[in-house]
Amino acid sequence: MLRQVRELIDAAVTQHRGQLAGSRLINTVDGGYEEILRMAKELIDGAEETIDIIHGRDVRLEGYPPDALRRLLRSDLDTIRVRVLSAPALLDEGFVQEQVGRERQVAIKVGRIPPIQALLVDGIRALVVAESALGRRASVVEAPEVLLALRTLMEGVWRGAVPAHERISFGDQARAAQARQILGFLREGVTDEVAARELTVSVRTYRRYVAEIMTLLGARSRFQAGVRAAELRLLATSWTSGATGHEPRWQTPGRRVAAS
Amino acid sequence: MQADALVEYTISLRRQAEGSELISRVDGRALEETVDQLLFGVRHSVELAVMSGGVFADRVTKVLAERASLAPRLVVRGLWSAEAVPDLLDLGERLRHLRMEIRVAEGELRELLVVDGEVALVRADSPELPLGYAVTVRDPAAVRVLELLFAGAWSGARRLSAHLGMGERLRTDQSRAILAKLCAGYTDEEAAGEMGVSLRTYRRRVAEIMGELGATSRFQAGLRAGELGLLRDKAV
Repeated sequence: MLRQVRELIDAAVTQHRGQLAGSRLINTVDGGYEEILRMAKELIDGAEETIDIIHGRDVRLEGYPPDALRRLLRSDLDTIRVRVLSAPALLDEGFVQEQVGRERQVAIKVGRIPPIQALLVDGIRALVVAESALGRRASVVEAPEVLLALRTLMEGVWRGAVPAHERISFGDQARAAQARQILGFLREGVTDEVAARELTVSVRTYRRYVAEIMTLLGARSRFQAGVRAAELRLLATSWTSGATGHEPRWQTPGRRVAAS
Repeated sequence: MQADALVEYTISLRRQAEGSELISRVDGRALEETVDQLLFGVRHSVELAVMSGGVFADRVTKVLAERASLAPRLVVRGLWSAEAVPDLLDLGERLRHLRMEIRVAEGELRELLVVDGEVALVRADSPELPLGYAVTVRDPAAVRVLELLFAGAWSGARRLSAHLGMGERLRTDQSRAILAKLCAGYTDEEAAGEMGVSLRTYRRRVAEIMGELGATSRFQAGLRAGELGLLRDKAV
């Protein structure tokens, strides 16, 4: 019994110590969005090795232009590994183009990002911004355990995201819709004959469409095309059904994205 | 009598503190009690990430199973690392009482619990503390970001049923070699030649793999293999 008591007191004391240091481990960023940007700049300027950015909130809602974040990044980042993970609709295309030809490129990937913003610097400091029921909240996090959790979760999303320069455009809206339909047939394992009938075209024409899609995907075989479709997250995951699967991510019709 | 009073005092000390701090740390020996406190009165949502079949997973699932009837609208999402799945199956009976959708994550996880989007618990190991420790986070921004990133990781993870259906045969060296050839876009003739088998044998083995994947076409096979993470070994 006494051992139990001692253990409880030990635990309480350990917790108390944690509280005393609490003000260094997490600190809220109060004030407007300019305060958040100022803090972001401070963290970026102090970076020595790595900068990871998750961009899931539209800064235009804060009254800032979309390239406001790009301007925070210093020009002398050549010794620092920078990664940007962006929601597709929020991608700063100009920033993507800027990387072409640079010796040390910022790695930019596009994926299904929740409505948050996060900036992780050197694995030891992070600025996190999120909407809550009570409005936008931002904090600087230096607690190692929380940072590790953030980093691990981010790596998971990063792994599944698509490099910005690899996004596929199927052309105009009509072609994109047809491509989507054909990919759906392929995913369902529908035979070419049945699919051609669905599209009211000949089997030869259908196979030509499939070949075109395969070219766009850079695939030499149908198996490879399936792999690419999975990599590019073009289809809802075939093991799931219903509303919990991914939605297909499609390029804005008409926009050409250079395949690397 | 005195011991009881002392215990009461320490418990109230902790409860008092827990509501106000953005972040606090608890020794691993108090993990179960902390889990109990955090899950007390849970109403809407729980996100749970589990790396192993240890105390953390055990306590959380136990408490949630007990509370299931009290919180009929509670949505529980669980993300298990692949290594922890065998231990999960031992919890079978308990899981029946608990409405939890479980998915299996590729790669690394940190053990995490988020309750009603308000408070998060992050478990950590420590060389000094045999049971590690746990950090309770109440900072709204941090909790929200953890919760949403978890949701992102969870939605991209594969369902438990899919994971269990994957079959050991897909992971053999031979299957891996064939998957690599298919992934690299080899024609069947090229691949059979390189592997030193007849075309018919190669195609038979491909058909077996497709059967394991539940695929009726090569495209489907590629898609599923990709989604199941079977092709990660390939050099990119």
